[in-house]
Amino acid sequence: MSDPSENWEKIEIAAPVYIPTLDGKAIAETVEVKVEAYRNPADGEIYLDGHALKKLEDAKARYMGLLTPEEILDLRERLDMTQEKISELFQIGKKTWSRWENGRERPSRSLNLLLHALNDGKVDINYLTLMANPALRRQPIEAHREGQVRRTFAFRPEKQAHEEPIVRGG
Amino acid sequence: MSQPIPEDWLKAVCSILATRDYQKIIIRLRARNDFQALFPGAMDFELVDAFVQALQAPGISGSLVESMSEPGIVYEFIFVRENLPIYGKINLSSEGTVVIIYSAHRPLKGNQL
Repeated sequence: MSDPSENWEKIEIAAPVYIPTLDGKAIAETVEVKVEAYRNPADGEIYLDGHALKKLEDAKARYMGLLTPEEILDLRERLDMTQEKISELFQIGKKTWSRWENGRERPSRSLNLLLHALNDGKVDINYLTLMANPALRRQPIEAHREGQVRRTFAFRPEKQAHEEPIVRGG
Repeated sequence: MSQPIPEDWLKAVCSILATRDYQKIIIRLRARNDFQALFPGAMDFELVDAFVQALQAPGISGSLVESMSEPGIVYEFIFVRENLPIYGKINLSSEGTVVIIYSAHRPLKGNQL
């Protein structure tokens, strides 16, 4: 750091990290994380630099179960994909994926679930490829529909005598 | 009295904040905690991004503050995030190389500075 903090004291503090509820609108839990900070002896105010802020943000991400930027980069490299290709599969912009990797942005909790599933091998990359390509995606659905139609006709029971319409009155 | 914030100051502050250079951005703990309490779903660096967005908004106005002890030029202003008015106060150091975020909380005097 330069000028304004020249006379500040370096201290260690326990800063609160607020873990949000699933909708992100309230605080579900507060944990404390130790970080280095600066104290202005003149007024006792405490200041954080970018390193401390990143440490707090990383702690929050961990508690929220979000993949770290390093894990997101590692996932893409294991899949041997470019940012452009993998962002197509996730149906997001390339810049968004890039921001996930460099930590400028975090994936939403929903997308994080998908990332985790892919990272843990619970979702196949071929499945994402299929879902990202409407032309490929229609084929199995249409085949499935045809199959259903065939089954419907194949197992349709013959009409029985008691199913003949009953004419009442008259 | 609120007045347009000088373009030079805005540009210098935004260029530092946008880089997220850890050596050049200092955040008062109270500002960080206030912002996190207001937006629990936000990650810590969203505070920095929120200020960049606010200061890049056309016609942003504020007031010069001369009571802070750190050397530099300080402006206070009000901006809106997720429909909430937020009071912000930022210092651009005398050398123009460091930004201090002092405040990021609900305005204490209504929507006036």
